[in-house]
Amino acid sequence: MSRARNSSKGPLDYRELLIEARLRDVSRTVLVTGGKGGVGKSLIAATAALLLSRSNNRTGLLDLDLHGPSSCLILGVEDSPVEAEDGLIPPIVGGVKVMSVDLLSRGRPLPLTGRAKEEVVKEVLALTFYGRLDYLLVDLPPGTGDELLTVSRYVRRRGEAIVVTTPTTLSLQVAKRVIQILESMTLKIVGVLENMHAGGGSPSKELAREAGIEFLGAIPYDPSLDGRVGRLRPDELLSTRFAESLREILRQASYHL
Amino acid sequence: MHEFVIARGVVESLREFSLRTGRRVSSFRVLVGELSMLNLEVLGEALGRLVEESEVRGASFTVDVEPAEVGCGSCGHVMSFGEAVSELGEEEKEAIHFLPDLIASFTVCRRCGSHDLRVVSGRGVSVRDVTGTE
Ligand SMILES: Nc1ncnc2c1ncn2[C@@H]1O[C@H](COP(=O)(O)OP(=O)(O)O)[C@@H](O)[C@H]1O
Ligand SMILES: [Mg+2]
Ligand SMILES: [Zn+2]
Repeated sequence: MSRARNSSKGPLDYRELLIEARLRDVSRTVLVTGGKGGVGKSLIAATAALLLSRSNNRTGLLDLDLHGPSSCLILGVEDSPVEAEDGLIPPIVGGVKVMSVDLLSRGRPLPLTGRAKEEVVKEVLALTFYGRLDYLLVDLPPGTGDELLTVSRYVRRRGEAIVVTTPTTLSLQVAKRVIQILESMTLKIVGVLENMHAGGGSPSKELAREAGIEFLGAIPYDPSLDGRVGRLRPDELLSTRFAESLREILRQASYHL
Repeated sequence: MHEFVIARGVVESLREFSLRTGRRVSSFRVLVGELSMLNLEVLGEALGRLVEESEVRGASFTVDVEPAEVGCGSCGHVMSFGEAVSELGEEEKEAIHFLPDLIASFTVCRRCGSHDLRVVSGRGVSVRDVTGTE
């Protein structure tokens, strides 16, 4: 897939260079991906953002799950982005600058076709003013749809992806396909992160080995989260076993924690 | 107010076009989708200022509105801008102002009630008819 450069013939897209300039201000853009829904991508992205911010990193969270935005629900974001000369300034929760279409669509469903999704992703990237960041965590929908493809086109060199899976056969199989797509886009893959580990061996290890990528570790299933996600304050979320385990894994994987 | 950001993006894209093609931009046209509900005066002023401060100095331009058409995927009905936004409040218009495709979240087809709406034209901003000299 080639970069969608403005060609001299058709109309020029004013967003291209804005997006590139915005992403140049971000040291590391981390895409949180995975094949299936419900494997914990959003909770991992939000918690990782809080952890990084807590360790004095300038951190942003971008929710690009257009059909199932959940970053704002998990972190309890209520404020709207503010319109300023530099763009839309995201609200801050637990030190993290959070942007999501949900902050504009306010819980309404988004009936978007592929083309429209691409437009929305580009607009959000072009208009959101995060300023200088050490980390931008990007929460993505399951699979390899327009959201992932569009954002990958821009972050490419600076981008890195974490593939989240649960130990189930189905999740592992779909994760494998996601890895193939990510590799084809020459995006750096940090590794496979197993979530909701139930004890015993980690089948994701095998997946990582086969794919020739890193196995980052396994986060246990944390029953203390049941029914509480979205109600926990950032500091409460950070004191769960889930967060503790994620912190350890990210630290091992060279994130500044 | 994000008219300023857009103006910056437009001028950047022209500057890059000029660098890439080795041509001096002499004129261009900015087409503003009706759905984006941008303030044309603010956008025009910001463009004028940024153009003069940049490598595309001296280029002339016009800012025109592209009428919006929102099509229904279920029944094929096509709504005009007026029809599409007629029942929306300020907050909803504000959301569409940033992300024109959100029209599908806030509006239903006037004929069949479906949310399956697509913006056919008049979405956002594009830079057209760029002419340049070698
Ligand atoms: N390790 C875990 N232990 C317990 N519950 C978890 C764990 N990881 C995620 N969850 C819960 O699982 C559900 C799905 O997680 P979510 O992050 O929304 O998945 P995804 O974004 O991949 O669709 C949420 O209710 C979340 O709180
Ligand atoms: Mg999610
Ligand atoms: Zn209809």
